[in-house]
Amino acid sequence: MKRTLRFQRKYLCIPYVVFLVLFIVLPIVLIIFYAFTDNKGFFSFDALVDFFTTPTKISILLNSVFIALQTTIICLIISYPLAYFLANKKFNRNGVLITLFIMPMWINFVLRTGATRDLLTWLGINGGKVPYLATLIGMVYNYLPFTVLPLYTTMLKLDRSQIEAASDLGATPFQVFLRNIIPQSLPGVVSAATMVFMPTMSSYVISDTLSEGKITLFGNSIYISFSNSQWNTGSFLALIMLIIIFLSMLVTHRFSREPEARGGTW
Amino acid sequence: MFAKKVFLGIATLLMTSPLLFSCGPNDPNVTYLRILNSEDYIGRGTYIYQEGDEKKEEDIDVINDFEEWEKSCGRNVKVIYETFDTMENMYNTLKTGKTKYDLVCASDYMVQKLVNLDLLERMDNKVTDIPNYEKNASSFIRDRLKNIKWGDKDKYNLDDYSVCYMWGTLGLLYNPTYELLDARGLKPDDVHNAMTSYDSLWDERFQKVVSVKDSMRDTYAIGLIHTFKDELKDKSIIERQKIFDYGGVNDSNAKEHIDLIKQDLLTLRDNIFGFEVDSGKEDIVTEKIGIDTAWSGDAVKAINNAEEEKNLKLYYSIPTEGSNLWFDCWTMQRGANKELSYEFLDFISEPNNAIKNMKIIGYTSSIQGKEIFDYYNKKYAPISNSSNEKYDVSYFFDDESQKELTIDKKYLGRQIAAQFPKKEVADSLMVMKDYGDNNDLILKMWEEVKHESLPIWAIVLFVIEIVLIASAIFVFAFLKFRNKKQRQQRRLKSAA
Repeated sequence: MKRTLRFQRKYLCIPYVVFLVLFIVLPIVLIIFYAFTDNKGFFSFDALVDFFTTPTKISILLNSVFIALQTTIICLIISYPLAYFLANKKFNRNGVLITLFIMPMWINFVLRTGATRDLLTWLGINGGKVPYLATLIGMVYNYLPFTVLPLYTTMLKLDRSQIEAASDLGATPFQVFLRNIIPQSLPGVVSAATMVFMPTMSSYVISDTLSEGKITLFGNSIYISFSNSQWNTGSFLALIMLIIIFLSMLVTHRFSREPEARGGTW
Repeated sequence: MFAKKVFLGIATLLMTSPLLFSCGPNDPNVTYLRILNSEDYIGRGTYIYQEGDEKKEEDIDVINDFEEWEKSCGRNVKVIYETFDTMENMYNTLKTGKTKYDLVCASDYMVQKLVNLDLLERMDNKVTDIPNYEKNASSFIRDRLKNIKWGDKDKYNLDDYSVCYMWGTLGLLYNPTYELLDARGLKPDDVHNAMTSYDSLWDERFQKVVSVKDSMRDTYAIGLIHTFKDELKDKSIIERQKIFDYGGVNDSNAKEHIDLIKQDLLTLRDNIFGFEVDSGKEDIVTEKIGIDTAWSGDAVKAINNAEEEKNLKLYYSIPTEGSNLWFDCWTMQRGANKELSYEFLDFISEPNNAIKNMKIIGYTSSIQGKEIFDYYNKKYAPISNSSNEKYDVSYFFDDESQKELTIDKKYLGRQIAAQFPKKEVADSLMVMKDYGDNNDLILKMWEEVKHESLPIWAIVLFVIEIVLIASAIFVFAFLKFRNKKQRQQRRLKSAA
């Protein structure tokens, strides 16, 4: 009797299990429940049929994938060299520069987006005329810190001796980059990409504000469904989003897991 | 050091005092009234006004006044006041029924939806229950509410289930001297003329200067009026309202009609600057846009702000084709504390309290009477004798002696037009009822209007990128596979 009451180390997990069930498992179960019922609570495929027979919804999904992909690519193109330079102590003494790049993250992003809108209007890049450009600029600005940070940490951990060895053994700088630095930093690239791709897919405040309501992303679509009390359609859309995220996790997992990724893959 | 201690002491006291002194909702000595309302929609705040040359301030708190009034009657009442951001979110809250409220403020169509869900108490005995409302509410409003009927054999009407709080219109808020319009050779007079019709929103001359509401019902109303303007022309108000019912599709060919409106809205979307819900009233002041579809109360605020901040003159116009007339009403939830709810409704229907609400909110109350008439006369009083203007409000005020306001010329077509539409306009306004069964169709239409398919360049770029990424992954996997094989072979060799 006494023994069972004694504190055991696994009891420390209880808060986490409660949290997990309450805020992660239960909501997902609810989403699945609503996605496959009608508004009277009976099992039905209405939402599924509705989604696949409405060209608008699929088109909105494509739209969001497009925007998310562009944002990811642009963010990576900008932050990859940036992280490389920042990881070099010569450029980034006592980390001031990296702090500057991450600073926007500390400001509430709705506020930030409002300010971006004013700035863009002032620059003449106006959401009413060029909705895609304005949205992309806003997205990249918002998610850049999320790519800089993981890339920066990977770059810090680059095996310098390996790079030196490569150039010692006669590799041209380009070869060093292609065959050594890229494979070494690939896990960072993958985690940076996932950090950007997923949230952009579901974000809607940025596109709504900066495109002046002209670009509807998947997040908007879900919001519209829920706000018009179409819970079943909305849940199904959310489920689709979950599946997409799950699929891309599967793909990226393969890349970041491999231990051989550290050099010598090619 | 001492100061710091005192400061800390006060801070802790402030932080803990709500715990110490406030009583939870179960205190037996206190009766609680739970109210759910839109944000910034009650007389609570500081009203700044000009008297002569000096600026004066008046602190207003209607809720507190109500509690005080109850106290003076020997009752201990506490109001729990909560707000919501959109009608649809409020609807979801009430539908799930997790929190109970006594009074909820809802728009006309939302009252219909709540009645359909059987969530509301009838309030049809206003003579004895809410005498102030019975006495002071404008018969213009009451008649309109009584005529909003629905259900089997029109068994429901809005007046039975609600007490009208504020009302207003949807119109065009515009800046006749907007830079971009001037550059296109449009003189202020041209703009004024164009704003008398919705055609201007579709007009190339106003390309990319107009914002419309990012709200299905409001923009749909504009699309409906524009598409069916010939059908609406020169009809009696009853016939016009009939066309407006169920989203203009109360007949068998609903799909066709909605399609027509959709096509119209799609061309509108290409012509406008953008969709907005909140930002428009600021954007027009900062001159990001020149024209905005606006609700009357927002329009009054924007007109005042523009004048104060930038000395900019904005105007408000309700196009001659007609517009959407809306009402925000108090509704009583099932199981509410009836007696207390009626007392509250009676309290805010008292003209002086209605004025307090109007001062803060800026919308027009449904309450009329001598006090209200005087309030508007004073608020829009002529500055000099030469700028006198009579303004007909006889449709709203019931008393014979309150037919015309004497106002300053400068308010014409501006604040006063938003506060009280002109008589001939007021008679042409329609009410957009709940869409009923057509809701899903219209929602689908709205999604299509809001959605923009990818332009060609984007599709090309998209395909190229996907091909590139796919091939990269393929090459990567292939190389890895080859490496593995080679390594295995090497291992086998060395083992051998």
